[in-house]
Amino acid sequence: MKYFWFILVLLITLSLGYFASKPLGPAPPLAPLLDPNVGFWQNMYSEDDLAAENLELAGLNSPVKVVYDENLIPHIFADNDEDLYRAQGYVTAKHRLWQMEFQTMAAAGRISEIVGPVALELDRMTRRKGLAYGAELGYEFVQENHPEMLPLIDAFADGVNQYVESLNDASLPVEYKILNYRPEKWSAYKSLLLLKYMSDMLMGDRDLQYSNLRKIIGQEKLDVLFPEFPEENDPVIEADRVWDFTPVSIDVPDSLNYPNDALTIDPLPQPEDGVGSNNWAVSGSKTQSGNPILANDPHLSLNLPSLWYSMQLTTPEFSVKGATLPGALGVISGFNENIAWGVTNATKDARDWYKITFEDESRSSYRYGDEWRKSSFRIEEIKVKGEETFIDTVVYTHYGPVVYDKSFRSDRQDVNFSLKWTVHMGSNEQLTFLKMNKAKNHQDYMAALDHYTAPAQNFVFASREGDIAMRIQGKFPVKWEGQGKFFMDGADPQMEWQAYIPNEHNPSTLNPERGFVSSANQHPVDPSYPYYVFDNSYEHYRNRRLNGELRRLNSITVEEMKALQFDDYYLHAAEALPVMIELLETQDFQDEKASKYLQELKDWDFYADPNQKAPTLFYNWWGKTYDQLWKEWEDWDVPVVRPNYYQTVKLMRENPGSEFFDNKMTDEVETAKTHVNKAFEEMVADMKEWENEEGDYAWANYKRTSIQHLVPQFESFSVKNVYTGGGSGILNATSSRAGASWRMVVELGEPIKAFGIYPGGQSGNPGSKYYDNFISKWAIGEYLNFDLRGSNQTENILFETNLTPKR
Amino acid sequence: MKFIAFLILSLVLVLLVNGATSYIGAMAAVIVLGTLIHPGSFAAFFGGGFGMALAWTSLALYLKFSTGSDLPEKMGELFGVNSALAILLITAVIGFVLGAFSGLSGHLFWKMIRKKPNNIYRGNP
Repeated sequence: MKYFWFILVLLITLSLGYFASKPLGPAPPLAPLLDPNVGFWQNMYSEDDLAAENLELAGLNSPVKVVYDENLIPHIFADNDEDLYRAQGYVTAKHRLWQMEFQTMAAAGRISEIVGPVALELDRMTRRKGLAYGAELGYEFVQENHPEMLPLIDAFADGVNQYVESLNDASLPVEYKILNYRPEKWSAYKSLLLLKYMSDMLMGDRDLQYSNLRKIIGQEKLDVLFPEFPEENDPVIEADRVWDFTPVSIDVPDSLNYPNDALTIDPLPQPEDGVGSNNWAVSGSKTQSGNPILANDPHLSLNLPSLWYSMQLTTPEFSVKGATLPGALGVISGFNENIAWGVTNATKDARDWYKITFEDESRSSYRYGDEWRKSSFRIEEIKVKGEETFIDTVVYTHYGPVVYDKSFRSDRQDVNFSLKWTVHMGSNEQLTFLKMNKAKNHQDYMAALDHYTAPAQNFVFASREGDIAMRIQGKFPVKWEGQGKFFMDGADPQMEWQAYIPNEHNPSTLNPERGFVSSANQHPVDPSYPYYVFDNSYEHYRNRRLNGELRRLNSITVEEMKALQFDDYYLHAAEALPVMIELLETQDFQDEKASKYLQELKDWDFYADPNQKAPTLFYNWWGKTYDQLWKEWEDWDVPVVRPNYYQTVKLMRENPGSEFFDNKMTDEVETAKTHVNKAFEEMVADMKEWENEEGDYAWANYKRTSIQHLVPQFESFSVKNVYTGGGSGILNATSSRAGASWRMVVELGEPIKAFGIYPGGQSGNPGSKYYDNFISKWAIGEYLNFDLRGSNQTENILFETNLTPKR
Repeated sequence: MKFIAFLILSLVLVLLVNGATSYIGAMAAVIVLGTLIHPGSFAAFFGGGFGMALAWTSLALYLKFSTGSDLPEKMGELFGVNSALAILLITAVIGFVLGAFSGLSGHLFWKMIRKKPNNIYRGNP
């Protein structure tokens, strides 16, 4: 009997030990996660608790000093570039390893490896868009054209890998422990892939929606509702800029035959609403100190760990500080001892779709003019956690990958459209930032930008020499009017992109007479620019507010520039609300709540501050009005693009009885008035219910800004309900899920004064006190001191680490 | 008394071995301890269990109070239990179960291999 009991209990013990180390369904392995010696409890240390005074790093030529200031911002002092970027890789990985790896795995379509089959569709889509393919071409491009850069990217990768190798079970970032996988080696390719991922985040197209709409309402009506330029165009490059070059000419097709299919497929995922940015620079002639001031705030999805990681990088040659992108070399938006620069998304249609006519089922050739061209096949092996590897075959034409085909979303129509995208062309964006980090003047800035392809950006510039400038840089095809707005026939060579706009023809300006340069994702130019310019998502409000304020202000201070970044003026509301109130049939409601809401709206100063109630009422009422106005379009049940807010308000104001507002599917004849009144009733009912359930409908309570962990299911690692103002279309563009991901203001005097902040913290560890410690300051418009530090400066130091060459 | 002694020895052993190896190493150590001390089935089970549970919770509490981190609260939410105390209790239960069966295994191993004296009542010739 004693044998029986021993064997039974031993088996139970061994089983417990075994099963406690294995994941149970979606749950992580319990014992390794909960064991306080190696589990999540070990991730409670903040970075200063674990500070090491000395560390050895293989491959260093000389010692490197890393000084962390009180906000855990590292300042790296190295003797040469290679040591600098090796240290940057090591330090970035130390604080953001999981994030940088997770983002590159997302970009490569490898999330299924981590979370299993639930992400297979997403991975297939990512791969079919060809991001990894684009990064491979980018790596080849660097090898062929800029081999001198490879040792630097390799040094960065080596720095990351030395940190990865130093990890043990206890020091592994907590996300690896929960998701039960381990980091793999970093490579130069991954750094390039990360920059392609940015393209995917920032670039969209509405070719499908425009194609459908053109088929339904016709070209004429389309032109009325979607004019190429708005009436009050206030472009990035000042409207009176004279274009003193002869444009590259292309052949314009005699007749246009667009594919005439009505497509009911879902469009490709688009950048999230609210993604955009502001940047500007004012010349010394408009500032109190006489020094130029530059400001930049890129608006992106609000995520934790933060997209940005702040750093100072210093060698005897240069010293640069600002926001880095974890995984990429150098600083992306920042300043050095001579210049400052910043970026906003230069939305311009750089993604087109071509309908492919395959010769037969094998899809090995497709029609192009009078010939059959050979297609190629790219085999995508997608590893899936807990399952067999999934093999996906993607057909490539000379345009690019065929995203949807019989093997992907085959339950829909046979689409076979090839995606042409500048991301699939060899380029070296990384070099732009490395050169920009060292730039000393406007000439260096222009030279750095010549290497930049995608995603197209408005690069703002200011220098201590007193120059201010703006250049819209990207690789833009020369297009005939309307090209790329709709799906095109890939068999017709006339539809090809024939040439690219030379860099020197890209819109730019230096020291304009008005004393400032600015961009807020609006139209880049006015109609006099000799190349065709189109994008669906141009901004119509932030740009006018920004330029209006910059024109008005004189003797500008840094504090005023900070205030402008945090400006909550809701220009869209200021233009739409008077029209809506005018269209209300009664101003005297029996319903007490309706009267109260209307009075609050009438008393509003149009600032979307967090404590204001009127922005909530307007936002709700406008949303319902807009949906009502274009409801008929929704009922068509195919993806179409709706007129933007600016055009809609204009039409409501100028022609409230427009035929566009009549829903043909109903018996009555609707006008703007019908929709506005119905929407008001719905808004009142909605707000009453909201008040009953939630209470105070102050704007911040209603919009509920949240900063979400990169794994949305990890809700407790997110920060929810941040009390802050602003919103989409407002300079302080903080909406529910997107907003200023980084704010920077730099005055280029002697010495340079700089301020910055982002909604997060330097640490990627949710257990660290530096994980989200900037958010409370960011939410009320405060900044951190971002002045350049000297290596021997002693104030406000958290700790220092000396990296020495490994013997 | 044997229970208390076994509990304290298990606690110390887990603190030493678990940190240097892994929780599997700690389980093995408690099995060996159970064999050597053979405190009885009850004491081996509860002594080993509470020993490992206390080793884990004391280290977890030390980390919590020395760092001030709110990660246990966040992990509690992630586990759907919504408190740091609950996640500490889960940690303790897992530690207890692993330690208890290890201690009992050790003790039963001793019982299996021990040689029974066969001359207890022989008396004097």
